[in-house]
Formats: sequence, C-alpha cells, structure tokens
Amino acid sequence: MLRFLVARTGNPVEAEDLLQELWLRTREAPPGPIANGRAYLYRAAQNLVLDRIREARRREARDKDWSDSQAETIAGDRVDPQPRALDAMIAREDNAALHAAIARLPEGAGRAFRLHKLEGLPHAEVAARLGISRSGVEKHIAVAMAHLRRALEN
Amino acid sequence: MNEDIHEAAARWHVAQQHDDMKWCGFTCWLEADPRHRLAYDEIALLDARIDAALPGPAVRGGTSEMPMRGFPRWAVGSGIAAAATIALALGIGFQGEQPEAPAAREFASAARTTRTVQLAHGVTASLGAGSRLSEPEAGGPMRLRGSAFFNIRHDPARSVVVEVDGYRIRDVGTRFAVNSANGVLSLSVEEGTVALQLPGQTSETLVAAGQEAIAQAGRVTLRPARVANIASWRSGRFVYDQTPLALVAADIARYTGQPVSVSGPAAQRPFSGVLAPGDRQAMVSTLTQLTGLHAESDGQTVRLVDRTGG
Repeated sequence: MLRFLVARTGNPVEAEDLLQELWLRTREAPPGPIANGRAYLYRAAQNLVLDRIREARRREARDKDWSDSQAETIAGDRVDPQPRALDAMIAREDNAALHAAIARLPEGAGRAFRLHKLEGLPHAEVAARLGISRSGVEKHIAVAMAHLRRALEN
Repeated sequence: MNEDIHEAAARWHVAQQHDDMKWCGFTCWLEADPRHRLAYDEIALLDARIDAALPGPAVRGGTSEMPMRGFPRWAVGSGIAAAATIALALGIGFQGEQPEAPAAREFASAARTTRTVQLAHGVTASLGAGSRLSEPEAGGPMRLRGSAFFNIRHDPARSVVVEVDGYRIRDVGTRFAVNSANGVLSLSVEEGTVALQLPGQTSETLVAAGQEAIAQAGRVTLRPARVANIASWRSGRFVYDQTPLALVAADIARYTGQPVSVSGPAAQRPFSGVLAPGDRQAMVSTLTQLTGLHAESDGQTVRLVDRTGG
C-alpha cells in the first residue's frame, strides 16, 4: 500500500502521512460487511489522495475569492455586484463548454459515456445496452474522458 | 502531453470501481513514468468536475435538482446593524416555530444546495444544505438551524458571539464550522481561536485552529481536526473523522430533505469515512455498509439501528 501511495502522490513523505490517516480511519471504522477489503482500501486511498489535490487547488481559489469579496462588502451592503456576476458567468460558460464537449464526443464513446454518466447505468448495464463487453465499455468511457480533457484544456 | 497517456490514465480510473481492478498493475504504471501520475491527476479531477456539473448522474432515480456545488447565491440586504456584538443562537428542532425576534433577514438553503451569504461586519456564512440562518436587522441574536461555516473578518473593536442551544461561542476574526443536531454540537476551527461556553456553565473552553470540539450532555471533548475536512460539504462531499453518528444522520436528513434518525448508544458512536451526496437511499446504504448498522424504514423516517445488541 505504501508503494502505491508513493507512486500515486510522487511524494514519500505525503504517502507516509496518507498511509497513517488511512490506517487510522480503517481501524476506527467499526467492522461492517465490506465485500472486498483490498479494493475497498485502495479506493479509500484514492479518495484521500484526490481530496488532498482538490483541497490544495480549492485553497488557492478560495484565498482569491475571499480577497475579492472583501472589496465588495461594506457593513452588509454589496457595493459592486459586478465581480460576483462575472464569476457566475464564467462558471456558467465552463458548464456550457463541458456540455458542448460532451455533445461532440465520437459516437461510440459518447453513447457509452452518456449512458454511464448521465443516466447512471453501471458498466455492465451499458455493455448489455450496447451489446459490447464491459471492457469495451470501459475503453469507450476512457476515450471519452481523454477527449473531454483535450477539449476543455484551453 | 501525450494523448495515449491520458487515455491509459482514464482506463485505470474507469476500472477502479470494479473489485477486479489490478491495483499492482496500476502502481507499476504510475511508477513507470512521472507523467503518468500527472495525467492521472488530471483525469481524476476532470471526472470529479464532470460529476459536480452534471445533475445527479451517479444516482439512479435520483432527482435532478441542483448539485451540491452550486454557485453561492449572494443574498445581501441593506440593514446596517449597529451593535458591536453579534449573537447567534442555534436552535435545535425549532422547525416551523418562529423565534419572537423583531424584523430579521432570513437566509435558507434548500435540500441539496449550499448557500453563501454576506452578513454585516465582515461576516460571511456558508449554509449547509437544509439549513437556516436569521440575522436581526437591529443586530440582536442570530439564529442558525443546521450547519454552517463562518468566516469572520478580524476587527479588534468587536467580538462575535454565537449562541448555540445554550452553548456560547465567542471569537474575534476567525473561520470555523458549526454543526448541531440531536443534542450534539460540533465546532471545528480552521483559523484563529474561539471560546466555547457550555449551557449553565461560566467557564469557557478555548478551541484553537486545527481543533474540533464535540459537546454533548454537558461535556466537551477536544481533538485535532484536519483543516482540509472542515465543513467538507462546501466542496461537495461529507468527510467525517470520528464524528458522532447523530450528526452524520442529521447531515443526510438535511441534505436530502427527508428524515433520518439514529438513536440509543449508536447515536454517540464515532464514524469516519466519506459520503458522496446522493439520494437518501444511496447515502444511508453507504453509511450502513461502513458502520454495520441496519436501516429500518416506516415509510417516512429511516432509522439506523444496531442489531448486534452493542
């Protein structure tokens, strides 16, 4: 597990820290019906790593947002609503770009991606619906995500 | 960066939800080239962003209401409160029952949404789903029901007092989160120091940055809090670290807008784990899997019970 965390974070110190946290959490969690302990542990580790990455990025954004909002407010009155409106507009455009990119996905990949992500079907059901193997579905979804990443990169 | 790397990263990412994921193979792939890890980070973040942007995709039959990471709706009124002290009173279970306060500005967040509001004196409050906050225009006590994260600008001329079900929280310029339900109070401090006074007591317990105070039944315990996890609902997830199940159940109930309760000794049991927002059934099912508790429904309320008899 430590080897995985080092590989996943690229940082042996952080990996040790995460392993500690993972260990604490699993030890504290009352034993429950967990079907596959190993997969569960790895997925929990993945979530911890992702949370840290997201937190780091969010912190940067939040620090900026906070100083932005300071300029706006005097004793509860919003002085200039412009920056907030602008933020919302940018966020809306981000969402619109995401939806547009999803609409432009190649056909097979797009169908598998939409069935799984928009309609919430598990891989196996998407496979049955499209008449392909589960691994085929995973391939399609992976292609779709690589496409989306490129489309949203700029 | 090479497109094949991102596709490979996405394949690993997609495969991990199955129990037959080759974790050793994934580790080797990550180790083979440092670019693999960066590509994987990008894909995982993109996936999280997609899940946040698409209405309720992961939950079948779930409603397509606003996702949790909605934009804060900035509700700003015009009352200038003159009082130097702001008091917040957090009432447990006074649903539908208006406090007899004079004219006040009311802020409420619906189920499945969070909301950030700017209040007087440089106070910003982010309300968790299904929570309510009222700020009297005259500057009297504020009332909060549910959970909220407060960001209070430092001002040496005043201190902010939060009254929570008889608890008093006093601070000068800080960031902290409060969650209260079923007689249990959690207070996590991200920055600065706040003083917590228990009902009927005169002494204060100091809670410093990076600490969480859990108060129930006239007792308070302090423990370290991971700053990254404070009011984690703001980022679309409920992260718990040794949190009493009473608060976890209340979070689910407020988020989904449907009653969830846990009673008896199980209510005090600490829970650690991560809950993704979803419909009540999905969230309760994750919780029961992680805790070993059983969910019983009478058609209205879902009750979490310990069938092992302790």
